Amino acid sequence: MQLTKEEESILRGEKGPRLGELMRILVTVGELNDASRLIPIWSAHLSGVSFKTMGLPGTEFLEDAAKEVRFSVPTTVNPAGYDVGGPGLIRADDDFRWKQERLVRSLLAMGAEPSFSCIPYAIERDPPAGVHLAWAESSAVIYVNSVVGAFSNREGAPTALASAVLGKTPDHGLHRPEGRHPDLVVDVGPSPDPIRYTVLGAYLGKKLGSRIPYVRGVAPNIDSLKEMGAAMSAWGSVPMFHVEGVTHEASRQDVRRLEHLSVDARELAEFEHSLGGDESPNLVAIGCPHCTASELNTLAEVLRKRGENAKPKTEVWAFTSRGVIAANPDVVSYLRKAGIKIVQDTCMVVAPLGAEYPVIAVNSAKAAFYASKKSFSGQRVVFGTTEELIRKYV
Amino acid sequence: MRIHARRVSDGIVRGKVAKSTAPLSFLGELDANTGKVENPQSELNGRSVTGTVLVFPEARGSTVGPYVLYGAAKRGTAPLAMVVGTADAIVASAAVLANLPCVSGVDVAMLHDGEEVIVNGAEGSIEIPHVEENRVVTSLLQNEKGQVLLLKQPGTVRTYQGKWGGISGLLEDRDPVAQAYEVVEAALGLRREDLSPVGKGAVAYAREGGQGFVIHAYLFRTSRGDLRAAKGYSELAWVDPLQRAQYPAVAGLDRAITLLLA
Repeated sequence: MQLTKEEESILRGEKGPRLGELMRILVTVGELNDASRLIPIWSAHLSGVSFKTMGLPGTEFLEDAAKEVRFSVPTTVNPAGYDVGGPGLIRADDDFRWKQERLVRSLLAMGAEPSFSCIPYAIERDPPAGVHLAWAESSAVIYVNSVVGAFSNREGAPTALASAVLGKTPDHGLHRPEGRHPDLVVDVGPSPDPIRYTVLGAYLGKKLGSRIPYVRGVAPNIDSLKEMGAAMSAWGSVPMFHVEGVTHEASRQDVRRLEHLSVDARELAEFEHSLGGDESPNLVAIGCPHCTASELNTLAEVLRKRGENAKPKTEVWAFTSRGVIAANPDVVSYLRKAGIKIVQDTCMVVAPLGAEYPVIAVNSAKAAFYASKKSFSGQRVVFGTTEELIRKYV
Repeated sequence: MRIHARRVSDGIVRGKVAKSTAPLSFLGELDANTGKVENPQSELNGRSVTGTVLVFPEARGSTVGPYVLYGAAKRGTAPLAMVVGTADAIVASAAVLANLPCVSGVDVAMLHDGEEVIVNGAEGSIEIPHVEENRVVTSLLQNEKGQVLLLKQPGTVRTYQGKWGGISGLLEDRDPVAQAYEVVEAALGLRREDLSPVGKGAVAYAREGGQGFVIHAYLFRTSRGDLRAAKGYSELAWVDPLQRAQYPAVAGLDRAITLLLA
């Protein structure tokens, strides 16, 4: 890699051993991927914020780093293990809370914005098209690449942190025009029902691995693009997708020589069936990724239809960010009055909910993927659209 | 013997191999307090990797994993070095944060659990001191149909009796390309003008017990699909590369073909 004099000096440890170590992470990853240089980034977004996913060694690393370095670019952070700035709706034991608190303090000491959200693009740091980012939340990465037209690789927790401190990222992969071309065309056949984009995303993610699809035959709206991308990047490691006539860079792609994959409604229905069982949930959880304002409005609409005075018979939690809550007081207060818990700063995947809520109902195929995993919550999953879940269980 | 590898992070150490043929996730599968692996799919399950040369095909799982290795290094339970088949950002970050020498691009089958090796992260190599190095040149011929010429070793050779391979000879300390042409001429009587070289050649590694092979392999295209016999070999066959598993092969042939046809 070609480094500037300043980058070389940091790499040699002349600006301190910790900066040298972080620069070595970026240079090592850059060389592994044949990057020729480091490029400046517009913002960083960090994963590894919940103590549940970080554990003690990760927390210690952040504490050590916070003694020595600061973020040099705007840096948002993923949800934490409980509602750290909220009213304490998530029950977690004192030990967990204490360690989570240490972790959060270290991040804030380094200069993190207290976003605690997986959708930083919604409010906190909405990137313009064409800027380079080092983001580490897979659902946000696929969203900004595909829908916004900004550039980010799927960073890991340490690489995003190194980029947040140094303000740079290695120039490879999704930062390069050639890294954004589709690898295959996906033809989605006619569907009798409205297409379920989270299901389509999960199905494709499983098939695609890390390949970039060019999807035809669908017309998702902005919320559908978000849920499809989130599922695709959880079930696979897809960094970006194109939708013909919809997404930012689709019209620029030449797809004539690409292989095709056809998906029909029957396959999708079968796959959807495998996402969850049929039993009564202890909890209905909406907002994976975090609800946008329009998704909160959709939930409010569904509740309105079923009647103003019906109180939920199963707990319903809607996870979103403190930013979305602050910007949308009306719908938030409507939902609260309707008996919905609006939970900020954390989410159904990274909060320790497994023991208390062994059966969780979700409307997100990404949530279904993680909730059932032993290393996350080990829950049994019920899957359906928001409307279906409210009608059946609430 | 010495194996070339891709440099991931610097440093030179000597240590005993702890090998997993299953991919490892640092998060959830390595205990930073004890250095023990907890993965039932891995041969290392229940074993400590502290102070070893940790060998595994690739990392999987959470990108938070490198912090676990950082924690292990702080507690003195980390391995001494890592050797991986394929390195990604998880492996690279882990090596840097734990300050371990690390190399990648190595077929983990080349290293045996428990043996002593020297990992050189600065130049990108692994030395296995107790394995004897045999340097070999192998020429592979490909006809117009894409078939590859395999030749069967006679029953009279010292090693690999009756096994199939390319046209091989021991590599002397001079230009391997010249020797690649020479072995073809000696076996088949073909001259340089009968052969057109494809690609740059490849180095494949193979091992059988205490014998290691460094195979400098070259691919040539030829229009002489009529060849029927070769000096020093008992039989020959033009083989579709995808069908090569049907021919019991000398060590390293499969790897050499994979690299040459990639």
